[in-house]
Amino acid sequence: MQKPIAASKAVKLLSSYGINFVPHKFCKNFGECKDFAKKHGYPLVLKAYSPRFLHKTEAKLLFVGISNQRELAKAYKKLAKIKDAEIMIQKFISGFEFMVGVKRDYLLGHFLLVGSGGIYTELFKDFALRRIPINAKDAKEMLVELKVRKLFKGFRGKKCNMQAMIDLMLKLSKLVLKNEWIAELDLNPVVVDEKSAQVVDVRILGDD
Amino acid sequence: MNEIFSKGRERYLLKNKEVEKGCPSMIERFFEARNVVVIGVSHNPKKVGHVIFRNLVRKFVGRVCGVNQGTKPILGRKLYTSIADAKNVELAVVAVKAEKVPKVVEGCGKVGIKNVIVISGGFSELGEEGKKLEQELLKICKKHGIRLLGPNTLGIYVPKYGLDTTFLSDEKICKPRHGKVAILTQSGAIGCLLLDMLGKANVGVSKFISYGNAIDVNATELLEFLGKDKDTGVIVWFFEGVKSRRFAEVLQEVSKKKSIIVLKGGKTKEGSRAASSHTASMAGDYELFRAMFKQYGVLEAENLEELLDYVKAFATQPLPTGRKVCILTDAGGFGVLASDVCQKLGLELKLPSKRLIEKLSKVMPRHIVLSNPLDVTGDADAERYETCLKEVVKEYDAILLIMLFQLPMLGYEVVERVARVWRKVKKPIVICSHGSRQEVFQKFEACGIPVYPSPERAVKALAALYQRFEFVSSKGKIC
Repeated sequence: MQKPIAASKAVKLLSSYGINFVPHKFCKNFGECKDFAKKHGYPLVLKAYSPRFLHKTEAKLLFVGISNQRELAKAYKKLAKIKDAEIMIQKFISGFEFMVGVKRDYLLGHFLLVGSGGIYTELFKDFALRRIPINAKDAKEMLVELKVRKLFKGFRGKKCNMQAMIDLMLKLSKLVLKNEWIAELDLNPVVVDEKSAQVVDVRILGDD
Repeated sequence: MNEIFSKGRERYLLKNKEVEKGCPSMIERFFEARNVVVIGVSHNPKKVGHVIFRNLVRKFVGRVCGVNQGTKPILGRKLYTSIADAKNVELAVVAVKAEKVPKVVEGCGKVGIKNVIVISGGFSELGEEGKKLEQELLKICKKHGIRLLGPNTLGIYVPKYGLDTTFLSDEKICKPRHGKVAILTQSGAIGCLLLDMLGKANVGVSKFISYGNAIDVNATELLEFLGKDKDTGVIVWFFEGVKSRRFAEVLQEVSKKKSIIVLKGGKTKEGSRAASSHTASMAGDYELFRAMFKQYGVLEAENLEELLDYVKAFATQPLPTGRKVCILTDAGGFGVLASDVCQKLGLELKLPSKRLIEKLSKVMPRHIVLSNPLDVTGDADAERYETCLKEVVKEYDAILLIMLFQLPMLGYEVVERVARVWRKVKKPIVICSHGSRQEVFQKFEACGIPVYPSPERAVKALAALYQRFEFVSSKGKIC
């Protein structure tokens, strides 16, 4: 059986391989949320990870663009009600959204996918795929394969940092190579701007 | 032929020692067997068992004997009634009814035959009953240490030794001569067509292998074997799915050494339906294979026609060492169409150098267009083509020759003139020509220069060669 691992564990695993996650904190009480807000300022995002719900947006476990303490308190109150949930507060960032994912095939091994559009990748079907391990050349080729490739050179004043994406993909490839128990992994969205590529959300399914 | 025979024999004996030492693969021995038995030989010339026997009797350089229930000779050969009477057999070809196959293979095991090809159909492709039969068969193989190819297969064809276990009669199919292309196929029908197509296109074959249901010897092992096979330079592979976990690594390794051209059947099959992540729902089975093909430099054909187009180029032409293509044409419109495809596929139509223009303008009539496409115009004859080609090959990586044989000035002697230049330069040259008179196309292909009926197909073949060059030259480099 495959089941999702706890979000806190997933984030820890990513950071142990140097994969850049957006500034965040898992909060056990509202006080911790307030401290985070003081340190990082608004706007913020508050979300709950629950093993019972796979998709946060659909289950209303996600509050985006929280702009003051009153809204934060309201969101926290709602999420705190959910049993066995981990609540995460994070900085609200914007940029172009990608997704990076992994799938394991029982015969062929692990594959890495990069797509444009974040949560809309499935809609746009703009993605590239390679088998893990990948090298820098593979990673670059994958990004160039995307329809949005122009973003990496600059398009209407917007630019995405290609090297940051390549680094992230290579780190993920390394991570998966050492963690064969991973069956499915989504980093979605990964927000990319001129300077960096930051993972905003993660979900990992692994062998029991 | 005798020399080949004895060399093969030596190799075989050597291999045999390795096997005794515990060498895991006995795949080579299918192709190097010099003593073959056909089990289930029939008197009826239209029956599978008869055709196989006839093919071997007529062409095989080794020894062939037959087993059949009666004792009346077939094709002048005395038959055995039991496999136990056949001595020193290295390879058994089985063409009896499915339900009799386990018993026959058991018999092979008892007399020490280690390589068996089961031609017979009627196994898992028919359902549960057949699946059980396969499991029984597999058990017998394990017990006796037999390597089994099939069932439900055409078996193998090795033109070099005339080792032909297919039930395809030479009267009905144009089988290829010996050459460097290996055909590997899951489907017998596609295999049969590929053989005929390559035979007609004068493309030589090192080994033809149809592996059918692959209950024992599977595609991955065969790929690995072909990767090491000295006679094979290009591997053509039709498949639907694979069975081995080693597949991905083997594909990657073999593709570093040899050009692999694949055609995959069953592309639309859905991936894992129960996928819960976004990644898994997008990355279906076929997408995974495609990803590997791209990553490991394997060329994928969209259909049989494209497969043949690529094989023709890879079997005969060297890889270009750059992307500069010259289109030499006597047909303006075809030239324009070819230019469009070149640009679309990333080939570069560099303009001719000053030196080239000066040189050609001295010897050419004024009305020819010294550009790229280089238009030798409708009154070009064989000599004009040769003169231009000789100069053009000096500064381009690959040449597309477009020829309209419908025009009065262009004669068939152009074939020999083009071939002469091509043999010296070691650069790819392909022809685009179309028309109802096919003899001249066959002449070109007999010289080893492929002909394509449309600019698009010709340019695609060139682009595929270039793509392979890029892969080979960038292999291992990390940018």
